[in-house]
Amino acid sequence: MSALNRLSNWLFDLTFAPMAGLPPWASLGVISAVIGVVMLLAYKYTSWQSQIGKARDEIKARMLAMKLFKDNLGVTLSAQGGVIWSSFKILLLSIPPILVAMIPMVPLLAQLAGRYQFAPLPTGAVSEVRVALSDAFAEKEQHGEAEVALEASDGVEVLDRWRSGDSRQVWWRVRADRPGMHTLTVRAGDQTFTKQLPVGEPGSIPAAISPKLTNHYTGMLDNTLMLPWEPAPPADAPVRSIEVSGLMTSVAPDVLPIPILGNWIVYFLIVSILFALLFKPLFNVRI
Amino acid sequence: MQNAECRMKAICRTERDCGSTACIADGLRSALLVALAFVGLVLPGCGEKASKAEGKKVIVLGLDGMDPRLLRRLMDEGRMPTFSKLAAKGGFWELGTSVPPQSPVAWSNFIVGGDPGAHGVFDFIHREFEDGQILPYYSTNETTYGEKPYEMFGFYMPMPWQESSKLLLKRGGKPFWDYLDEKGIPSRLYRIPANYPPSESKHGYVKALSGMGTTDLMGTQGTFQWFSAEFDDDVGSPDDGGRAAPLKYDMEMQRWHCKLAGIPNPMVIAAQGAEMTIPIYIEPDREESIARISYVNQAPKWGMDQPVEFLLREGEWSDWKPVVFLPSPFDPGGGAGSRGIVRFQLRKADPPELYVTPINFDPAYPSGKITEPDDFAQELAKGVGPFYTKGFAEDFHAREAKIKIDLGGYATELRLFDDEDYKTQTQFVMDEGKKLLTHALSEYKDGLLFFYFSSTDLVGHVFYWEPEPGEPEEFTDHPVRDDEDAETYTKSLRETYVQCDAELAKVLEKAGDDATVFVMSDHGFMRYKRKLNLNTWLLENGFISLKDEEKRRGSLNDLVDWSKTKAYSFGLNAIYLNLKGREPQGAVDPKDRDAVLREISDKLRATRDPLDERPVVKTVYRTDEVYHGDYAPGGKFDQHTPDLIVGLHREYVVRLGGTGDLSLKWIYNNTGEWSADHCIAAELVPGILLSNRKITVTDPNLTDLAPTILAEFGIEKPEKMTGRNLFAPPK
Ligand SMILES: [Zn+2]
Repeated sequence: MSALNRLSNWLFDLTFAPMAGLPPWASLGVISAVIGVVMLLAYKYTSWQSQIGKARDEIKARMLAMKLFKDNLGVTLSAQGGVIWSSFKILLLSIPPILVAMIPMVPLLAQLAGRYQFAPLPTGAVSEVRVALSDAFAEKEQHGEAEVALEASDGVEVLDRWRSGDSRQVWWRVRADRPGMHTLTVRAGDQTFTKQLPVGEPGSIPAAISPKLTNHYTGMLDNTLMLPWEPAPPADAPVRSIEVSGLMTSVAPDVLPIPILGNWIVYFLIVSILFALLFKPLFNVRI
Repeated sequence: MQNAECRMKAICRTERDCGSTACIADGLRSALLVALAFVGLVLPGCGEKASKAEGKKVIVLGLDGMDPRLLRRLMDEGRMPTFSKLAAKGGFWELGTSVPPQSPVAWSNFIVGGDPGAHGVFDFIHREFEDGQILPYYSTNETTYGEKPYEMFGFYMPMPWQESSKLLLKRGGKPFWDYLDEKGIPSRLYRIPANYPPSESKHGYVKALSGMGTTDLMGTQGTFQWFSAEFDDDVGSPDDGGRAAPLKYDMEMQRWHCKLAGIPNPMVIAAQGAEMTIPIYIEPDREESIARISYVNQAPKWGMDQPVEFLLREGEWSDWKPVVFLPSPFDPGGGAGSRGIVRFQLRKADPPELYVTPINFDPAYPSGKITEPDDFAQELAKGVGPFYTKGFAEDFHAREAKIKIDLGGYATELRLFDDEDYKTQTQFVMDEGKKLLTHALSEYKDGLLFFYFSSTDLVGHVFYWEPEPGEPEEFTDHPVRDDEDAETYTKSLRETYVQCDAELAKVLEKAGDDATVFVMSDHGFMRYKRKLNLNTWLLENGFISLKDEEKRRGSLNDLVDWSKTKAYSFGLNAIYLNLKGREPQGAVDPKDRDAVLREISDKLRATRDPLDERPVVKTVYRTDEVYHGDYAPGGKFDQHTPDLIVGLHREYVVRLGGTGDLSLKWIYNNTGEWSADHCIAAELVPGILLSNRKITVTDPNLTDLAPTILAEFGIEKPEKMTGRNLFAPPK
């Protein structure tokens, strides 16, 4: 999985590189448009175009029949039935290409989230570094047999530390005094784990931003799939996850200053669908 | 593919390098630029109406309770250069205040350009009658209760067609900005006092954020919550507002927990109205003085529950945290719940003690009407983030709060805020005000801008203790602080004043040369050492009769024999006759009204302090002489109007009447945390007025500002206003 992540990171870094200076609405606009067109082509080559075309033509014919024989109840009813049946056929025919499209969609959305969902920590702000320890290591820490410490690169000051009663959770507060991509190093016993902390104005960090790295398996999707940028600790590591707070607001940062439309995922859907529809006649795709 | 290339050309409308992605990107970029330009130009303009002020600007900076003597002293010391500069350009005058000089009354005078007879606000607290009982209400707003909801499956089910409870603005009269609104002149009012809920803007030119009088989410004037591991279940309430509750330890989870009280659940049928609460958890570190505080907000409407978790060191304050009280997804509000914001102070880490501010409305999702129009609150939240929306944001109740507990057989008194805590908390309010002012100035183009700071008043009540040259020695020492302490804390009020200087500098910079600028306060300040209980005075002077001579503790309703009672006090400075036809059990015949009023007034004026034989009362105002308008005695709406207003001499203040407790002496030493006040004779506590233009009257008054502002925009003085235009050429 991590090799795949590295590949997708590399691909996306490459894609985003020429658009580094663009405002988010423009870079996301270009990406969404390209993805819309690529998805359209993918649809074309993974769907049974001739069958979809046939079904569409059938619908057209039935509609015409309804118009011509609108006084004839028998014809109208059978035409209506035909329309419903053809529509259902189109729905069935579009399932395989949609399933195929779903596979690249997950890493793709994860990559876009990394660039548009999260904003860097503002300079001067305080972030909590929330570390979850493995049960075994927490036990040791509680009995003073092992220590856990946080080191931060220059420009980030570690303010204080807190441990839960069972030591399974250890939090630090850090203040970021200088913009840039900083590195946090968690030292647990004789092992170290690093997590990046982006600091600065929104859009000032060209790389993807991730709030968390983890080896937990939660919900339906593998976290390593959704958080592809930083390697997760191995399953038996003393550190289970490292999370930094303050990177994401409850509402995704606005791409455009318009409510709802400004949400990157809504914006992405609208632009990609728009471009797919725009290029549909050009590539002669039937959907 | 031929065909495709051809079409691509049509999209790009250019010959160069067509068919490449760069070309599509170009096309896309220009399309998006056009869209963005459209959005940028059209959308922000949508909510804003075109101003007809033609560039005319009037800016009013309202500084509650700024005292002219202290200000003069600081200006002379050179600590307020911007004030001095403004005074040199136009002038600095004492501003006549209202009778009585209480903030809601004074600001209402400012708002309607007339005395209390024009707006019907006579005191902080008014009285009303229900089933023959006297009950208090906050004078500038009141909640009316709606229809009783239907009961279903053991729950209340309020239906959309039922009348729900409503919050009403009780200040009468027409605010001066309504006249500007009619003429298309924009007004922006930030934290405007005595205007909650904000009055409606009929023409859409008014944007107002309500100030003093605005309640917290619970509908009170400010209920803090105080949790301590030292409290048990029957800890009771602190004496002066606020709540106290225990923190309990959960061995298994290794954490402390308490319940943050919210608002009554409108759907639960219970005698007391079951309260919605949020469990709060505190987990101290096992060695260091730091703890994690956590709770979960239920998701309003849809979405996921939001956990809120943060660390606090001992003594540290959190920033604003959201709290959500959700009765049920099926509640009449559509499951939106009531949303508020609070700040936490971890007073002790282990065993913990926690202070939580009163629950303020969340301006980003206001659950109450705090602005006009409604979305102005969100606009402000977007501009400056969350802020105190409550009227009295400075938590003086927390400074005064104490609780008696039993500590292993010993009675101990626990206190909440000390001076430092109060200073810290009031500075939060001040800092938010500064941020909001910067935002307000950046948004302001023309028309009226009013901006209000409260800290000059509420810091003053606790920290004002200025020695006056040549005053009697026995009054220069502080009632509860030693000289050094008094000196130290007078400094923090001086610092608050000095901070206002920098704020004025921001205002003057924006104003430039063409704007008319006013800096004003609603009243000044006076320290006090002695407190009066007017109802005990009335009792001892034969105007109040008791049912049982021995029983003096309780409410007036239980103690007083109304059939023999001639007058009683309610609120701070007001005396009401027990008049037949007006009061439920009236005893004074209207034809005797004049004689009884004269008798009370004469006796009050003759009253001497038993301590040193000094006169206690300076002026007794008859409302039928000093008030004019529909709310004055004899007017259309005079049923709530007091008959006398008592104006005390300096060094005295009235204890809040109406709650009864006639067991207190009529006069006694002040031993409380408040050392200064202004609810005395109006002549003794004028406010301030500074302007960049010279005024033409010699005795400016609060009521003059409204007609002057209107005149600046070319609007003639409305008939109902009794104030004067301060710039009118002398006749
Ligand atoms: Zn005051």
